[in-house]
Amino acid sequence: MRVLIASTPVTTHFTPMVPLALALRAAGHEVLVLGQPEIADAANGAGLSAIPVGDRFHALELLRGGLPEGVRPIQAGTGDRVAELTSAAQVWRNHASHLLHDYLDVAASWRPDLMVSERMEFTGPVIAAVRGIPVVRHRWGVDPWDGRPLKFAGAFLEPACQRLGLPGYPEDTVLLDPCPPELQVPGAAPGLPIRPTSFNGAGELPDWALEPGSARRVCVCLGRQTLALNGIGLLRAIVAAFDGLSDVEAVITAEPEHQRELGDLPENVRFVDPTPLDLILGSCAAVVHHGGANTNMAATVFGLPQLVLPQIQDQFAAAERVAATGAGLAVETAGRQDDPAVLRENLRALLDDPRHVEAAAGLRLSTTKMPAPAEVVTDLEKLVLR
Amino acid sequence: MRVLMLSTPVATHFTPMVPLAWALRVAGHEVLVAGQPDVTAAAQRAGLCTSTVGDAFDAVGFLSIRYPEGKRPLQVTGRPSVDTMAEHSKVWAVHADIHLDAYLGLARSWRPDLIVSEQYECAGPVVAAVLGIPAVTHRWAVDPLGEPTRRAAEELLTGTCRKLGLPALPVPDRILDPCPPSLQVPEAEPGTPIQYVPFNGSADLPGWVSEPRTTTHRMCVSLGTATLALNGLPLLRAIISAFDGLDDVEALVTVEPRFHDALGPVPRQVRFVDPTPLDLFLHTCDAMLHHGGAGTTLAAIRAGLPQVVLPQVLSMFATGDALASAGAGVVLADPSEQDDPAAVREAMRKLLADPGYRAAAVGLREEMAGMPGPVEVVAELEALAVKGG
Repeated sequence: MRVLIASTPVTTHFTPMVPLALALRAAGHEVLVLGQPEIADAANGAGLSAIPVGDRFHALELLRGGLPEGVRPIQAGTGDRVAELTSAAQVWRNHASHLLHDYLDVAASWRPDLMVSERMEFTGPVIAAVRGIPVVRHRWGVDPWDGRPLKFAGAFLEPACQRLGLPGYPEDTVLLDPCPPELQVPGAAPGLPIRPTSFNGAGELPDWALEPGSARRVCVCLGRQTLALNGIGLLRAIVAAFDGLSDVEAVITAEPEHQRELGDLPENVRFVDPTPLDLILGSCAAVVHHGGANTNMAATVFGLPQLVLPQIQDQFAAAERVAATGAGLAVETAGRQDDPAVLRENLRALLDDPRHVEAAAGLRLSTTKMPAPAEVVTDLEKLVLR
Repeated sequence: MRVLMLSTPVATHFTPMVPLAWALRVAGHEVLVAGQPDVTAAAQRAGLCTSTVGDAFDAVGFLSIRYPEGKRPLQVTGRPSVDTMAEHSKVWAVHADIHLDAYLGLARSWRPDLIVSEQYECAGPVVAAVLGIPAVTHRWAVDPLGEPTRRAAEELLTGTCRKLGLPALPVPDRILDPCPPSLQVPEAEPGTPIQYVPFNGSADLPGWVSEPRTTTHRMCVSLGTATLALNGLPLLRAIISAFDGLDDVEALVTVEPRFHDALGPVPRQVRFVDPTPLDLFLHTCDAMLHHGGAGTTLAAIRAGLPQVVLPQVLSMFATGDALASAGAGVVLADPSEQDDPAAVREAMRKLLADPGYRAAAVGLREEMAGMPGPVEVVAELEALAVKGG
């Protein structure tokens, strides 16, 4: 069958769907990725073919443009989480209305049998309804978007739907959820589980990842946006937190330009260029991260306790849920995140309290009981045949 | 489990294993592709993680030194004998010997549970035997080279094996075979079938794919990545000329823009397109003309296309013969026939006029569809890894 996978123009919104795409391909199906040039590039980087539509979106520049100098999102926000999530959903809802007709043309030409959309991609259900095919919504991970943040998205697109001859904004046929149920936000609409697979792009295995090291290794990964959004101050606090932790080694993934901003590092801290997490996490005892879905799911798959320092949008929900399950700790205010002593205390607790290791192992076990992507593919084949 | 994949340093030797690598990844296994930069670059383009060993080989650069200006390999060496093929395989055994220590070092650190090598790659079974884990060999397609490759590897690697404490060159525990069984050469050792899933690289879907066809027939002409680079332009010119006078047939020729000028003006119904993954557009064609490369042949079969084959080197001859025996293709094996537009035109006319060729191609496609897919093979590999080497 032919499967069209659509994503908003943010690479990290797309990557949670790569395992499903690869499973579809491995089962012999045709897969094309639909999105703006950033998404076509990300698709090609995963070995998938794409149909680029429109111009590059430059999401990072957009986000950065709204921030005063030296101020990162958590410092600039109002603290009203629901309002922040709603506002983000509105961006993508508006975006969908601009792309909808070009996307419909693509679907009319390529004639997919199934649509797959990520969490924030709102054209998918409309395209599917016009083509008379099922649509799968694919969550990224911990998902606080249900309820008010999403409520108005459908309403906004209703007039466009009616002009297309549809009764209203269509519902998703299936909701796929890679997040283990106990980690998911309570009250989130139940989805069909799909076992998470860590996919963070291609890359070269670094030599040091093969060396066990004498100390406990902690991976610090702040994702693709945090540092660029005035996150250097946060990084400095994290580095300072490791200073003096004698039996701990920190490996921090960062672009070279950010590495340079930090100058000299403590002995037990090293920078590495961005590297796929699946090459690193196997040799680590814990992960410090920003709560981004890809990193959160990767750490969960590897069964590592997590220290989450959320900055923006759904990262706060990820932090709360990691802490709630006991699989890690959350430091959720800018003041505390910028305090090396607070971070150091949390790192010690994360590494020394066996409950976090046990809970993280429990989450990992939970993921292994979820249906593998190949099984989900079989279910989707049946859905399409119906 | 951890799976280490090895390949000789040619991208198209590696890419047949990509769908299996994907199936392993989405089943929750870790996959690492180790090899020279030619391989690891291709693996990264398929979204895979890599460990680079040794220097770039550049097979096309290596081969083009041997051939005088204007002459392609087939014109210089003629149809290869079994002994020629054994000679050719030695290059890969030498590569295996040179890089064996590096592969062993990597494997001892990374600790795979299983090693998968493409059909020419000789180090995999040695490393696996030293580590006491299973080794699997992955064929590309029609494979007359198994026996000659093994002989060359034995000759060149037995000494090294003994130094590593192995009594002899080890044999792989499984051979995975994507070739439809009815097409495989009779002397090939029976393998475990694995259904062909196309991976010919990734690209942006070109607009021309959705343009409706204006002729009754559309023949894809694709000579693969190396053929043109090895003095293959005169051959392509002859093929293009062959379309002149063929009624109602459009030729869709994949060729890099840098070769356009040298090919000169073309008949009205011949259209050049940039090299594009075959799986994106073969469904718009009803026949194919190619060089008999493994990936191209299996892609054409999967699309149910009757084929004209102009073999150039090595296993392409056995591939062409197998397709002809199956009634799914017409082969022009003689270089002077390949260079004669009239002969090529006649072969194409014959292929398009007789529906038997297409019916046979569709039969091969059905045989292919009945083979277990990569996902099922993963389950078998898991069981093999648990059992041990």
